[in-house]
Amino acid sequence: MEKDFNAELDDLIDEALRQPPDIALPRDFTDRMVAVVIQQQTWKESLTDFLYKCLIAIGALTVFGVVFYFVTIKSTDLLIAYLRQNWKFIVTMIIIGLFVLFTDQFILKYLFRNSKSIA
Amino acid sequence: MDDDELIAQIRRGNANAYRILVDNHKNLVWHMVLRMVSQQEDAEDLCQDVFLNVFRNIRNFRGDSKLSSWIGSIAYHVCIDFLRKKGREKSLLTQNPIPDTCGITSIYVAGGKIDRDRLKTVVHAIIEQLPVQYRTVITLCHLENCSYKEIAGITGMPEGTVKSYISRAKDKIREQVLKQIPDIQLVLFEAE
Repeated sequence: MEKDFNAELDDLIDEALRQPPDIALPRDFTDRMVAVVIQQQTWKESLTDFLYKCLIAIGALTVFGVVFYFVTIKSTDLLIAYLRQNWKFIVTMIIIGLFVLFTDQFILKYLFRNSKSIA
Repeated sequence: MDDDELIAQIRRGNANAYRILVDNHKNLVWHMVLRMVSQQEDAEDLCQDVFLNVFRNIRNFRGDSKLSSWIGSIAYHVCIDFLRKKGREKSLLTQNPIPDTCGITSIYVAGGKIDRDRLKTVVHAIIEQLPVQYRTVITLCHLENCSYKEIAGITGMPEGTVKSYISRAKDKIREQVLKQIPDIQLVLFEAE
């Protein structure tokens, strides 16, 4: 009799344990997760694009610098003197270039995406 | 689409494959997280963290275990980290005192039969007061039908410990049900 009771009680407890919680995940959980992941992927792609474009710009500048050196300056001392004289201009141009690239790749894309999601 | 194909598609950046993965495993993650942290708001945020971690680390999945076990282990570790960060591990990793009634004064309905919904409420209230490891293993075992091996893979506990925790958790639940509803035996026999 005691055994029957224990078995019955165990069955009842097992049944209760198998019942899922009353609270369920929001119905749009999957959609939200997919949206978050797509957004993350887009940011990652934007960053990769930005880095590639930076590398291409640096490569182009290097080629231009080498050509400029061999065609015009032809002397290391002159090159150093030129850089010393114009470093402010060069640094400013690099900063402007990076800013333009960053604005194009990140800020504009972000604003565009936001306006689309609001619409 | 089987798990290997699903993973391959997600690695290629297929958002629909990711949607399928989330749909297939959200109940497992939700049940685990909800039982481990008990707070709905925290549980929703943690579920998001789990699936973001799954997405970020899908490239590291080598296929040594089932995909569900791998996702379960991420959920388990995310919850344990959360509980540690919250500084609640002292209260949650150790047993809490179990309230006397769980708000239920009777589990019978007219005719002397047991109201199974009320008993479920009592059992769930008792589970919530168990140590987090007990809650986790018992949820995985009964709600998700995981094998001992799978539970061991998810939680990182040895299989023997899993078996022992499940057995001890059930003993505690049984003990508490009998303590809170002393005349349950009478009702069960009357019902027969």
